[in-house]
Amino acid sequence: MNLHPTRLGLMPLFRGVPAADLTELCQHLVGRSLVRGEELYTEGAPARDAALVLTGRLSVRLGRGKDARVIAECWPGDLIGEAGLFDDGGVRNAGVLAVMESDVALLRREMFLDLPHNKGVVSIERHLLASMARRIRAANTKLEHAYKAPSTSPAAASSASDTLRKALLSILGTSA
Amino acid sequence: MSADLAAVAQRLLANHRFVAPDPSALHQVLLQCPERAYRDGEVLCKERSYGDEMWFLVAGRVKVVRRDIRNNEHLVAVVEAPDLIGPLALIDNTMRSATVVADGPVVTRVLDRGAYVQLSTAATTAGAVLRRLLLSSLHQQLSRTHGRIRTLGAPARPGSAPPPPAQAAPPPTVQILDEEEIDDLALVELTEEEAKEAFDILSTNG
Repeated sequence: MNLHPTRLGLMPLFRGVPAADLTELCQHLVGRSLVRGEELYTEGAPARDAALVLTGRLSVRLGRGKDARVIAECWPGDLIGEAGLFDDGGVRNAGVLAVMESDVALLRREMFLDLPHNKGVVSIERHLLASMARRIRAANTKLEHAYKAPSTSPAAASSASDTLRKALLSILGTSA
Repeated sequence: MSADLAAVAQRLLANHRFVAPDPSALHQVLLQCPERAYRDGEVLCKERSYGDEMWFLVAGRVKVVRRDIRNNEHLVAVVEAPDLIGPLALIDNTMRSATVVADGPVVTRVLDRGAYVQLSTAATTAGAVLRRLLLSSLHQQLSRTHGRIRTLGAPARPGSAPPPPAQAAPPPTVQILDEEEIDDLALVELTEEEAKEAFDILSTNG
């Protein structure tokens, strides 16, 4: 699938980005079309890129077959699999599947290193920052709900419970 | 206490492969941020307050403290220079999730909201280095939390082989459970559904 700067320019993510920057960006992105049911990322497979959803809808899932559990859905403008940008030799911790015909643009780390002054890349990086920050906050909130205050009852004040509290607190405190 | 900012920039970038290896741009950013020193026990930021600053910790170390529901304070991490403190408050405008206190004399470089907005939107080398340092730092935090939730007893993933071990991460700046503590966790009632939800959220970075 060929990527065209006009197409990217229609996305809210790239609003205000000069056409020349979008043209340059297109030269570094790889377009991919997926049919319904086609897998974009396989859980456990090497992670070497991330994907920007252009059209369609994809689901993020853990497990396979009838045991698969959908944990998120991705829509146009969403970025998926950014872990592939940061880690050498990392693997996908979830699978991603097209639930309808979908187009994505694949992003590789080299693109970021090659285009430090491209305003389209700036938009992608800011989008990533916001979505990762949201995810950290959301996970912290979930963990905070799981955290239980120390109880006055002797049974609940066991050393094991204290250990769990310590563990949850140590996770919760990493995002000041 | 003085800090060689060029060396600090180099060490800050050493753990972040996503960022171009040339630390000179980050050095320039550090030079433009005003220096602020803290005495032992001084507070950099307070839990549940709104923040307009983040800090480059360039010398010394800080304690990260949280209060539980009964208002008891818990030390949750000790962070050593060089590192970033409190970037989330600038990125998403939400409250601080912990209090950060100087543990001995500390030297920081302070990036305020105005400078952050200017740099984070700039198509410049300095802007790129800051954004990518923050991205890489958030990614490491997500990965660490993900790995630790998995250890805490998130349910086994159905239909799949056990995940391969996480790749080598940079030295963590937060305390890690030892084996005995991890074993203990299986004995207590973990709110499994909530741990599972947190695990799911963290899994969506693929």
